[in-house]
Amino acid sequence: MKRILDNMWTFAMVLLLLAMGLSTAVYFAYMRSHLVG
Amino acid sequence: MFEFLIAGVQAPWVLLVFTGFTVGIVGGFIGVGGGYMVTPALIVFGFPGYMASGIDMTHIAGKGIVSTVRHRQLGNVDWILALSMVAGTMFGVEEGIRLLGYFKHLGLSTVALLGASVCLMGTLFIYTLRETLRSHRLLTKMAREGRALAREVSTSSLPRLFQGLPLAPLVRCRTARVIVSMWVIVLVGVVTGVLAGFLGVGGGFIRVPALVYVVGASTHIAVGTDLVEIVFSGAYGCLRHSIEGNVDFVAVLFMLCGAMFGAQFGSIATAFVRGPAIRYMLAFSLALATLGAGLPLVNLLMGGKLVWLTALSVIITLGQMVFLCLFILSLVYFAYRANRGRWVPDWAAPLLVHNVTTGG
Repeated sequence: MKRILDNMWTFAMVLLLLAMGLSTAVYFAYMRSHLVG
Repeated sequence: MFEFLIAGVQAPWVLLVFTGFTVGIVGGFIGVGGGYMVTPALIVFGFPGYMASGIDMTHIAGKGIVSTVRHRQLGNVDWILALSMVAGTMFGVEEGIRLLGYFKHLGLSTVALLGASVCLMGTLFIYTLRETLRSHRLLTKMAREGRALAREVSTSSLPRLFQGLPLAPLVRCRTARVIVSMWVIVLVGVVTGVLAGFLGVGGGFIRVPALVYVVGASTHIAVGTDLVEIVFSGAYGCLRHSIEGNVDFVAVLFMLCGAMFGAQFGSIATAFVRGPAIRYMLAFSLALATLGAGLPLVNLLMGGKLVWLTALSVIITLGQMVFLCLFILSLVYFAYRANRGRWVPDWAAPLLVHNVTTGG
């Protein structure tokens, strides 16, 4: 954990991955529901 | 799910509140409306494109007022600077839209527009990031030497160049502590307005770096002052869209429920950080927005065969608001820890303000 926090770019990348994971989940959950319904 | 009767769609109201909240935090912190993030999100939630723009613009007007009030309490609004720019900005936006119509009439393609957006945002990103990295290094060096750290540190020499222009009338912006020619302020308003109107990107994206690197205002003042501009441009856009019948006010209300709190949090969060921290967020936002515009451009250049690139662009745009929101929350948490004498990462310490006062 400290290794991630110690470097701003590593920390930013981890946050970016988290955010992109969440947005991918939302995108597929809602886009698919529009396409189906 | 909630049935929005005006838009004629069923959409998740929780996600509308969440979107309002996250974009509120980001907008209040870096001084942008966030239209480039909200419109794709609303389309993903099922709203038609024209409705998404209308809802987005109307929510920006409301959120802008909340952010501006908070920034005014924090002393981040320079009214002379803001009001000197408003006329130029509005004129610029209108001219930008007309210019776009003219070029479309001449046959300007979407590729050229997207290309111009990518070039402009990419250039701003590179300049902002390079300058912010230099400022961050300077802050770290000053902290190591035990020197007192100012709330703002900028290493750009551009403001000195523009402040040195001897064009009457000179304006004294007391809050921004800047003396600069009125023509520079008006020109910044017009140029950023034309670019915003022409390229369809948010004005805040261009105006905040322009206020910092051309006028020479501190980042906090640039954010607060830009939000005043956003209230005016948002109100104008809201009026135009309402007349056209592009606004579902129930959706706007849901978004404002989140934005009301997010915008206040984002605005207050600026009191916990120094200028370069805000500019980092702006640079990250510019980088992701460049990527968001660049991927559909690649798809168009490849003859529209790579449709997944457009989907990826939407995912990046949605992810951007969550990423920026998480980073801002982390900075505030680090500031909270630093104020209590607890450990914070070495890179974060010089970016944080100690003994915070958050105004009214």
